[in-house]
Amino acid sequence: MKKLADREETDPEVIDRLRAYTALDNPIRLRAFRLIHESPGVPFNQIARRIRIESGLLAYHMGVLKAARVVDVTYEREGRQVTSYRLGARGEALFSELFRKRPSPTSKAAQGVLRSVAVRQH
Amino acid sequence: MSKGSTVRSVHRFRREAERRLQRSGLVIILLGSSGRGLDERRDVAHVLARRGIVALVPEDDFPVEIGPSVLEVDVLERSDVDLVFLSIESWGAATEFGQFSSNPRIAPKLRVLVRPEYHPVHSPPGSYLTDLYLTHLVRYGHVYPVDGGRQAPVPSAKALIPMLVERHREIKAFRPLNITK
Repeated sequence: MKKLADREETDPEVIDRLRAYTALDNPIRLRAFRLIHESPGVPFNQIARRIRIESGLLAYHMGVLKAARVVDVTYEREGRQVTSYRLGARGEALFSELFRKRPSPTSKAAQGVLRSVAVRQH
Repeated sequence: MSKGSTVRSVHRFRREAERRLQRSGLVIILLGSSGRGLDERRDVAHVLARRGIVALVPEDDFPVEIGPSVLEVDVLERSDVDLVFLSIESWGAATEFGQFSSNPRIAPKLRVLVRPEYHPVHSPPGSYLTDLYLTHLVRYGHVYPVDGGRQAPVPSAKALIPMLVERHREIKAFRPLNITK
């Protein structure tokens, strides 16, 4: 079997995907991931309220997402310290891979494509 | 995409990466003391991350609203963590070891790192804590001496085997359900 150290040099993308999808392979973390995409900069306490999970256990799950580099974290002081989460470029790319949708026929992008096709046909 | 199919996609992507690397994805927690111990855990987490492992250092990865000490028995019991590494270099870490090792849902995941002078194999059990390490070693087999490069004394098979067998028969006699098979 090839040593993992060799693969680190040759396959950083697979390593990165394994870490990210290990982190997302949990229903609570996947819900938090979606919520953070929908509400960039969402504070920790709000995630706990929206997901309805006790903060100790959520702290663990958010720690997993951070350690896997799936989410970016900022710390701000508003009276007391607040931890906020957003998806970085890596997180957004993962989100697109998981939740990408085909454009609906009524979407602006789809209408633009249809219009350009119609112009070319005339 | 529906919720169910997203969950399946995540699982499929994970399995694909695992198959390509011929390694499982793992979530592990690195616990221990602060100061130099914390620096060491950060270094270890960095090495593990480069291998595709999710390695948490609670002091760095937990939100500031929650103290690292909240990561207690209840959270570890209910989380999907694969392994918990505990470096025992302080009384606080020793207290955590006492809690975790007596919990049958956490103890099998626990990997204990101790200095050789406190490891029951490398120095004879004397203190209560060393005795507790010996019990954990015999029940779960995961107490490791770490010495940062110093030479550790190693016992002979003649000294080691009777010590392990003796503790095993004690546990089997008094708490047979505690023997892992």
